[in-house]
Amino acid sequence: MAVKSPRLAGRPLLALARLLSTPVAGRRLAESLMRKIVLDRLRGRDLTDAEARPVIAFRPEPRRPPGPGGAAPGGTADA
Amino acid sequence: MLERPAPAFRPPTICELERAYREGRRTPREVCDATLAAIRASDRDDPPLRAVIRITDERARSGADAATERWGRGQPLSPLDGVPVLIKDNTDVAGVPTTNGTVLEFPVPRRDSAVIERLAAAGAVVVGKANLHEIGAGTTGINPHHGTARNPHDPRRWCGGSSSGSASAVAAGLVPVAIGTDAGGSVRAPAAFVGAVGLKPTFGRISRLGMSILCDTLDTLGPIAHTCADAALSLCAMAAVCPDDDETWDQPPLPGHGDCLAALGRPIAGLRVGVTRSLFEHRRVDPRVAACVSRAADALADAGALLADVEVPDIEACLVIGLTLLGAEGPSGMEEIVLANLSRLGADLRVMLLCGEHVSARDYLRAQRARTLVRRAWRALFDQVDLVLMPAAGIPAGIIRRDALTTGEIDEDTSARAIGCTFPSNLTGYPALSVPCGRVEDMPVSAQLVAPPWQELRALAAGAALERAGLYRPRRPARWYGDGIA
Repeated sequence: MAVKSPRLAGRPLLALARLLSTPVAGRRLAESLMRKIVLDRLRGRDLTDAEARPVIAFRPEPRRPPGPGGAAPGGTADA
Repeated sequence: MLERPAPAFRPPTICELERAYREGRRTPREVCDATLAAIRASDRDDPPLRAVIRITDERARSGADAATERWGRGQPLSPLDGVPVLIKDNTDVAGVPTTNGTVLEFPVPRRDSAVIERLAAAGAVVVGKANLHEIGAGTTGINPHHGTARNPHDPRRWCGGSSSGSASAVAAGLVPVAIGTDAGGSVRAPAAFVGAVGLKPTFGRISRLGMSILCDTLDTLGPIAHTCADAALSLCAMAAVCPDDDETWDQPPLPGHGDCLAALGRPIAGLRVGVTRSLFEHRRVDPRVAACVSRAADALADAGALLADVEVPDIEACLVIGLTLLGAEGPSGMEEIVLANLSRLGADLRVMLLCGEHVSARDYLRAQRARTLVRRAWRALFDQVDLVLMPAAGIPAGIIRRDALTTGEIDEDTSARAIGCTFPSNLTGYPALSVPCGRVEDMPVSAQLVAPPWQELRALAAGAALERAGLYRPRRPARWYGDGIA
């Protein structure tokens, strides 16, 4: 049995990489692949839970480095 | 006459090297010379092992000489003093180009990464840079530019990725410990594929300064070693609050080396272990791997652990979240050079990065919100149990397809099986350990122990109990270079 070259979504990988590099058709195909493999499943998730805040740390003030000997658990330099 | 059984195969460990140095049977310089020769020999065989991209002879020899002198005075810096280590080639060693597994020209680092500074302060001898899947983004370790790191148990097979060279080198006996990085399972899965122990510590335990980060909110450094004891010693050397890196500031200190090893020797009676039995029938987990992990659960129960069935958040959903984050964040720390040179990357990477461009800010935030729910569910699990047991990689190492060696390869199903069970701990940031627990197709497979934040030693203690249970008996791999080292 002939060994197929590496493929993604049924397309030979090398040809796919070349095609995706083209400005218009490539972009469109890359977008549809990403949607098919990942994003449609993400966008279909129920995220009505208001507590589901994004994992992005925003601090109104920069943190202060720990003192000598390292930080206490969860602590800061002046804890 | 009765035939004496062959002695059990025991790969050289940090603990054994330390004993040999202490007793004056070996010197770090002797071990360093043997290691450098073994690395070169490993690439002369057919096919070349390709575990190592670059050897750092000069630094290795001067470090080994200094360690030899310290051991001679009876004043070693730590149990790692004079122990040869490899570092994945996405982490800086001063004066040595960091290739990130590519053929691109990244600036030559002028200083060591924080983790190398820590290892050097412990006396470890950096002998070279380990191979990896290009930019650390892949689950097979197939690398069209630097050659593909081969699995020492069967060189026709890959080692997994992305810390392929680190895993290959340890399993082939080139070094007792190698450092990898893990954004979705890149330490634990390769370790599982070669029969080694792989530890992804808590996010923030080891500073990432000087590491080329693939994905800012997922990546972690971690050791691959032969035993849980060696992984613990390596963790102790690498983990610390780093004044320049606020990611590391919240960590509680680890005990010293001696106390860490003592913790691993203690019984685990009464430890509450959650077993993810529903994953044993999951389509991404080979039933033969599941059977080995189930035996690991029995072994923990025999050692006194209290088992309870638990449900973890859907691993398919975790993959979708993780891939969205990788698509949006990656290649975080290499973005400018990598994206400006797409045509010089392997076909697999080009496809991955071009697809990843289509993750919108809204998608990214949605993935991060979904991640919060995953983290919340895992946090609640640890109200009921002390550890969670699950498969590490869902399959044994696969055969390398000849044509993939030049183009790279992305196979959705293989990737999902390789890292489906490891990705959740990158979303939570919790520590997770892969420990060999059996063989499938005569290849090693591993269980995974997940612990709450900062409880690496708890996972390592349970891992040590699995080692004592003898579910996985090390065998001399087909490609072995460690005879002259210990």
